[in-house]
Amino acid sequence: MKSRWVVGTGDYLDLAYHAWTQASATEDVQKITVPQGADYEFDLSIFDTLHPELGDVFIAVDDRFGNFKRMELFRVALERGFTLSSFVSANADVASEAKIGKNVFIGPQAIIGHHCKIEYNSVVHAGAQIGANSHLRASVWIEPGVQIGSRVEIGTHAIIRTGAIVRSGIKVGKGAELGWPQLYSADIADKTVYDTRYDEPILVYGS
Amino acid sequence: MQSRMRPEYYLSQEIFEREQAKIFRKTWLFAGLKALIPDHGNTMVRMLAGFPVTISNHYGVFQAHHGQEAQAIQAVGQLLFVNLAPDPMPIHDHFSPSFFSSLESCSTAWGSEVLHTVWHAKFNWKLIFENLRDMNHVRFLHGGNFANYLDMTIPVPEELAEEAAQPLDDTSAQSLRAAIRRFNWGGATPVLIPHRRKVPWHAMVQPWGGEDRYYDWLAYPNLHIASGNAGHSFTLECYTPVSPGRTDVELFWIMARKTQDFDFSSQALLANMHGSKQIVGEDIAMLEAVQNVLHSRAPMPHQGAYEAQNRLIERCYATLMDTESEF
Ligand SMILES: [Fe+2]
Repeated sequence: MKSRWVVGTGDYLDLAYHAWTQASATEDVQKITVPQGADYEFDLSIFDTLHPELGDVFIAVDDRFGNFKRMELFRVALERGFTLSSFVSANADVASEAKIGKNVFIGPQAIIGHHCKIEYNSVVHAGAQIGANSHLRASVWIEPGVQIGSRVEIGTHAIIRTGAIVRSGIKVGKGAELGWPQLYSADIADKTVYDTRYDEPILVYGS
Repeated sequence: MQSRMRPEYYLSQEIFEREQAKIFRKTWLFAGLKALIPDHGNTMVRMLAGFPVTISNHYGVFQAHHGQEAQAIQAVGQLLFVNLAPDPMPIHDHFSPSFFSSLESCSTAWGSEVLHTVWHAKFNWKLIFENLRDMNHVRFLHGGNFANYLDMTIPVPEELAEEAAQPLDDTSAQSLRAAIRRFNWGGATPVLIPHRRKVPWHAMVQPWGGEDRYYDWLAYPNLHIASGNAGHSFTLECYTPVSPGRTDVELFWIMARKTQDFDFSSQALLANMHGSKQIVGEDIAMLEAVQNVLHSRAPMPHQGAYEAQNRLIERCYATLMDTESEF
């Protein structure tokens, strides 16, 4: 029996592990926690015990550090030769010609419209709706129930939190975080953060 | 010692207008960073002393205008200062040469990426300066996190306390300028950071200062700069009085210049900002509570010797408010 190693940390690791366990009767699904040190660095030694011939890896790290920590483990797994198949819930409604990249997670009741493109390492949680012809770039995080119109472009590492509605045709910049529960009806500049703890958005100038 | 600060200084609209005229339209005000308008033709509008002032980059030369009228502007490293007085005091009357060069040195070490946000706080702007110059507050207010990490108690020389107890005899412009010059100080504090949490990006920037020390600058009346991670990144807080009971607290985060390129620097600064949101949030909640109980017949507080720095500036402030003396 082939192994399915669900590798990562936190609540999202649990969620992904249970999703894979329910979905695959023919695989030995195992949950592997990667410890993070005081400096937030991963202890990667766990990868030394896993072999691409014996199974496949799914990386499950949440949106911490702007999705960079999930990206970090994803790259490590890729370098070590794992296939990194996506997880698409049997209860999701995904248009047949939608393009789904490596290590993508699509939760139950999510709706992905026709001609959507969801690039590698992105997460679309339960009940999120992505309108037709939308494009999610790599390592995006879409929380449960988020509504995204059609022809929307979402930059790499962006985070869209529950309660956000993104109007059709909008461009959301890379690294943006839409955390205020509201309708977003204008383009969002790269790295702009709407966090409910703050009175005003956090803007980033220069690079 | 009895405070010189009467409740009306924090409550009265008339006093507020007087402050705007006698402090904010006389002194050098922090007006943003070069990195906010890095290219020729870039502009930004800053609210200074109640006026919208347009700051522009003209082929690398920074200009300030209120309407058609040009205003005095001075770059200090990355920092921009504007003076709205028709006859502005020389900047060295406001910033001592050592303070000026310390600001210049640290801000020149900064990178070009800036995080920015604003909190709308419900307290008088002076409360935050009083809080910043009362290092004892750290242990009482931030006991949960900051105080465990840094010992912020700084001894106050006895002569200073004695001097602050005396009235200000010389109320000439020169004497008043000397008073704010003393209040603006900064750079290395005596506070060491014994167990700095080393995160990977610290090795990818050139830190300022060269010691595991808390760095801190105060430029009266509207700027505070601090680095709690030994010069690897810096927070700037700019205070803009909106009314007697309202102050906009603007927060900037900026990193020391990178020694190698990495793409997650804005996330590192965002983590810094969330950390300061928690700590400064504790200050803001306490200051709002203080403002909330102030009324015209509130008793005048007593101050300890540790508040000598505040008493010196308050002596100057009361002179400005209660007499015709000017900077
Ligand atoms: Fe504080």
